[in-house]
Parts: sequence; structure tokens; C-alpha cells
Amino acid sequence: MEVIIPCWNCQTDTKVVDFRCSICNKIQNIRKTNPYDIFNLKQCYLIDNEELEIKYFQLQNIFHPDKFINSAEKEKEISAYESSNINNAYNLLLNNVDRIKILLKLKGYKANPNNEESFTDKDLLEEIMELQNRCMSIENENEKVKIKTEIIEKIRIIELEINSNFEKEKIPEIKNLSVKLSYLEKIKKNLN
Amino acid sequence: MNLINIDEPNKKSLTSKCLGIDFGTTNSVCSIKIGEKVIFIEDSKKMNLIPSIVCFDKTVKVGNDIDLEKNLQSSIFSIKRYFTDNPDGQIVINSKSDCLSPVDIAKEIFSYLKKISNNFLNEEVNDCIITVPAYYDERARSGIMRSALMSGFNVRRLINEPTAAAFAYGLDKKKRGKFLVYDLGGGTFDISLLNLKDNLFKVIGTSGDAKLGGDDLDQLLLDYILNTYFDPIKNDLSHSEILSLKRASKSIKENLQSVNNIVAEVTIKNKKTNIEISMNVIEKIFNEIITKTIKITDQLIKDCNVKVDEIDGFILVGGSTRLALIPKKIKEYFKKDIYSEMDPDRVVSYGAALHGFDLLNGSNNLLLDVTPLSLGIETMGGLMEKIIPRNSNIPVVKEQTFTTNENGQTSIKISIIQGERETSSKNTLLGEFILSDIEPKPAGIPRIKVRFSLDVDGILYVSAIDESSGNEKNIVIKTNKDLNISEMKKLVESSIKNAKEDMDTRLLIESKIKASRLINEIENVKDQIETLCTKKDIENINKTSNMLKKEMKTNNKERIETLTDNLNEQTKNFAQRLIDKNFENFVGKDLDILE
Repeated sequence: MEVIIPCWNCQTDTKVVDFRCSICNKIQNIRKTNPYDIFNLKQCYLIDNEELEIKYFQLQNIFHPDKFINSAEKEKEISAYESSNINNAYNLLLNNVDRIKILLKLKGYKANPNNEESFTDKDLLEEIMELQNRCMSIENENEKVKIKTEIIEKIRIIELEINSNFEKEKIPEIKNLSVKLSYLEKIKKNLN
Repeated sequence: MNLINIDEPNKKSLTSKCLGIDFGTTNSVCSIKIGEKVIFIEDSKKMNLIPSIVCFDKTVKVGNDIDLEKNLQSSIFSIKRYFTDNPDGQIVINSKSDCLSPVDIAKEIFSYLKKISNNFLNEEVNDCIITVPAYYDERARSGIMRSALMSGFNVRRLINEPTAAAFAYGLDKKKRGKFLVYDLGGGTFDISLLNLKDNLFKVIGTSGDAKLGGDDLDQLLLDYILNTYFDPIKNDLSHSEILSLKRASKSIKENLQSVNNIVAEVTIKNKKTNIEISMNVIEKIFNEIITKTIKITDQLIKDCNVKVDEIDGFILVGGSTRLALIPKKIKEYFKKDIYSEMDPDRVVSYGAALHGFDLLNGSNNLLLDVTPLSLGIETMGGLMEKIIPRNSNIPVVKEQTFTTNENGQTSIKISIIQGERETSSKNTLLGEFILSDIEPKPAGIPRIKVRFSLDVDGILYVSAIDESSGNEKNIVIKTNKDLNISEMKKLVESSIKNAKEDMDTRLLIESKIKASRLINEIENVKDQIETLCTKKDIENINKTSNMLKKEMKTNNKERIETLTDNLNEQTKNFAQRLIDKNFENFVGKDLDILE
């Protein structure tokens, strides 16, 4: 990885290798705003969590404040800032609902109008309500495990659908699926 | 990408030394890595478990230098426990009623540790890493940090005790996989789930109880002995008699790991008494506390979205886990392998020494930790807006934009809150500050950006900016009188227990906020409505909005919601949408157009 940017320390345009200035060796900012770019990942909805994790660790290994304990203030600052940035980006990418918003934004769409999860689809509403009712009346651990497995499977299928809709650029379909997905995730979380 | 840490150009060729200090409730331990070996610091009596006791007599004495028979009443025990209440509170230290704060008292322990380290090593070592309970909150952490700094230590890092222990197991015992570190010390209980890989030690989640430890077990056993054997005279016992009973019960607890039954002979009021304790009795007495730790562990596993099958084992840390009952109960419940081959009293300091060496001299190892409790600010109606959820990786910077609630509002009070409850009054208030000089604008227009930065030591920095006027105030959360952390242990626990009741409160408050926002909105566009609506429409709108105003004084969530929906419907075409918190949502093509 090689980029030419002005180094904050050298004050001239220099080559940056692995986020360090090739002249003075000082750490440089990542200079990327969207999470996919930070980790150098292909902008697909379905991502390889293991690949993401490896890249996350590689970046933290470069930027984590533990690596800058003897460094100058400015380098500590960059380390703290970028290390937080990497943490935030990592968590966003791990979240299957946030990933939709990021990709929509990258493609130039509003994330989710007004952040409101509204139902335009009556069948969907009924399906969610029924699932919620079933969760309310869980009596034993076995039943809970069963419903949880069911929900996890539903989530898996929706994720596949969303992925193929992104590939085919079928954006309006994604909106409904995204609402459904976030409800399913909420129900799953409440089962803990 | 290069994984090797690049050395600083001007770094000394010699390795730097850094002490790993485990400041414990009962004992403190210091160790240091020199060359490839970790050595434990010994005091003048060649002991490396230093009792965390301070005696304020004519001179200040610490640890094994104190003659407890003589100075029992002027000695202060378990000072670490006070940090979760108030590190700056006042504690009576002698018969003259002189007072000192926990920070000042702990400082004496740190000074003593520094002194014995320098004597033992024959050189002055100022750099250190201090371990703290993982479930410690921000104020307790900064209290410990201040104590150590006051003693002259250069505190390079605070790290969590279970994390330090896991680091030791990962490096020395080459443990790889997902492990739960069960750390029951003298005063605190921590449970952390970690993923240990080559050169990589990542905390997945942490939980615990900052006020539960071996001291509580000792007290339960002492109470049992008093009630069973000394009931008629238990209120007439002298301090030294209580102390000898305490020692007896402690030794019973410690020796019960190898045998099933113990008889201890004590002499009280010139009378010999045989105290007999069996494993069954111990099990009964300690059951409640151990069950509690197991429940916390179980919930953590669920919160982390990890299956029990994926967990490779338990690592036991802390002197209290020597009690055979604990591994037995864990094994019964979780059916997992248990590891305790590294000395549970010393492994935390050992891990800190390893990490300290790495920090100062550079290494390929990376340690990633999390914050134990959610942080946020209080918003309208006493709700907590979570900004940094618990178990977030640190360091973390989060920003959130807030707006005013009233037309022409020029100042906003921001209260910083820590805890897991939905309503802020039930959480811990960490600090407050006021952002003034906001330009007067209609409700919902100003944008106040609040930034929370939690650094790797777990210390929090908060700032807020009025984005339109650039007015900024930075505060560092310091100890202040507003803070009460005694509710710490209740937080997560009661949050789970009362989750339903809390949710209802939250929903009611939310519906009221939505309603008042709508009324405000309508008042802002009144002129427009009057020019664009029919007389009948205006009449309807006014009628509904008056009804809603009345209903908001009640607690009927359903009616408030119905009226709000109704009013929304009536004004749909006229009312401007409130500017949303998120700027981003206004950039780009409109999704609805596509449908």
C-alpha cells in the first residue's frame, strides 16, 4: 500500500507505506471515511467476518494506543483518534442492519427515511406480531431455543435476499427487507 | 500489511522496566519482567503477598510491618472496597477522629509498594501498570490512578484484572480459544470472556459485581460461627477475640479445599471451643453468593452472543477461588474444563508485568479491551440516551447531535450518566455541565454535538459543541459530590429485573415527547395553516391539539398516542417535518420516490 500525501511532520508530500511516512516514519491518518474503505473490503452486503476480523486486528496492531506509549503527543492523538475510528467502523460492519445503511449511502440513497421503521406491508406486520406473541408466551428453554433457531434461519435468508437485491440494484425491495431484518434482530436480542 | 511494530528512532537500546501492580482488597502484589523472567517483589520479611492494610499510629505503617495484635484498631483494612462508593469520601483513621479519603489512604499503600520495590531491585523504578477490577466504573478507576500518581508512580496504563490474568495464561501457558476468566478477589467479582489467539488477546465482554468478594464469604462464615458457637456472648466479644475468630474462620475456609471436615480450636474468654465445619455447611452458607456469580456469568455469555459449546474453559483468578466449592459449582453448571495452574493470588500482577514490559519495549502482542458499563446523557424527560453501550471496544469516540425542546431555548444542561437502566434517575450520574449561548432559534433547529471519548485506561472525556455557533466546553469527569457509585452492583442486576417496568416508563415518556413536539411544530407553522386550511380543518386541528395538551397531563399512553396520530393525520399536508437528528438522511436520492 503506497500513497502520496502531505506528512504532518515533514510538511512535504511524501510516500506513505503502511500508514507511516517513508521519510520520518511518523504515523499518518487513515484518511478514509467509509467503513468498507477503512478495511479495504469489497462493497458487498455479505461480508466475510473472518476476513474483516483479520484486517481489524492488523489495523489495531498499527494504531492502538498501546503501540504509542513512548511517542510524541501528536502521534498519540492520531493513534487514539484512528483506533476509535477503527473500532466504530468494525462494529458498524459487523451489524447487518447498519451495513444496509452504509451501502445505501455509498450508492447515493438516503439511509432509511427519518430512521423510522414503518410498516408499509401488512403481511410483514402480521408476521412480526405473531412472532412477538410467540416469544411472549415461551414456557421453557427448549421452546426458546427452537424459536431462536427459527429466527436465526429467517435472518440468514433475508440477508441472502438483501445481498442479491444489492447485486441487482433493486433498491426499493431492500427497504422493506431492512425493516423486517431490524425487527427480527430486536426480537432475537430480547430472547437473551 | 506489516505486523511488526516499528521501533521509535530515539528509543534507548536497553529495555525499560515497568512494575505490574495488583492493588488488591486483601493483598497487593508487585512483579516485574527483567530479561525473560518475571520476578515478584519481596518486602523486608521476604513476603510477596503484601497485606493491603494501613496503620496510622505515630508513624504510617503498611503491610507486614504492622503488628496487628497491637494495632488492630488503628489499622484500616480493605481500603479498595471504598473506591466504588466514593474515592474522595472521608474515613476516620484513628482514635483522634482524623479523617482521610480512600485515595489518600491507598496512596500510602502505593508509596510502600514503591519503597519495597526500590529496595528489592536496588534501583528506582517509576513506571508501572496498575490493574483494576474489570467492572470498576470511571470514577473508581480515576481514583486509583490518582492514588498511584500521588505516590510518585508514573502510571503508564490501567488494565483490567481478568484481562491481565488471561494475558499471562495466553503467553505463558499458550492457551488459545475462548475463555471465561472468573476472578473472585477479596472485594470484587469480575467475569470476562476473552478470545486468545497468537499475539492477540481480545476481550469480548465483561460483567461482574464491584461489591462482591471473599470478604463477604468470610463475613458469612464468621456470622455462622458466632451464631452457632457463641450466641449468648457474641455481643460481648473484644476486638482481638473477633480477630482471632476471623483468623480461625479464614483458615477453615482456606483449608477446606483438601479435606471435607475441619475442626478448629479457639480460646475465647479463657474457654476452649472446638469449631467444626463440614463441606456441606460451607456449601449452604456460600450457596447464595456463588449462585449469584454463576447467574452473572450465564447472562454475560448470552449478552456476548456466544454459545456455551464454543467456550474452551474457565480460568480461575483471585484468592477466593482457592475455595474448592467454586470450581466444583462452575463445573456442575457449565460442564467446562477449569484452569487454575497459575497462582490465583499472583497471576494478575504477573500478567500486568508482562504487559508493562511489552508496552514500554514494544512487542507483537495486542491486547484489546472493552468498557463494562454503558455511558450516555440524560435527555428530555429523564431518559438516558446511550452513547457508548457497554462492552464497546476501547478506545472509543462517539458523537451524537441533540436539539432544543422549546422555542428560543438558549442553554442546555448535559448530564453524563452511567448504567444500564432505561430511565436516567436510576443510573449513576457522573457529572453535569451547561452549554450556554445557544443562538435562540425555533425548537429542533440548533444542533448540539456531544462527543464522548473513552480512552484505553477507561477514563472518560466529554465535550459539546453548538455547531451553529462553535461554542465549546470540554470537561474531564472528575470526582464530584454528585456522584454516588454505591448503586454500582445494583445497576445491571436491577436493570434486568425491572426491564419491563422501565420499558413502560420509557414508552410513556417517549409518547409525551412526540406529542409535545407535534404541538410545537404546529405552533411554528400556524400562519401557514391559517392561510392554507379551510375553517373546518383549522377548527379540527385546534380541537385535537387542545385535547392532546390536556391528555399529556395524565399518564394514559394509549390516548396520547391516538390523539397524536390523529393530529398528525389532520396536519399532514401542512406541518413541516422536524429536522431529523441525522444530517446524513437528508443527503441523496429519496427512496420513496422509487416506489
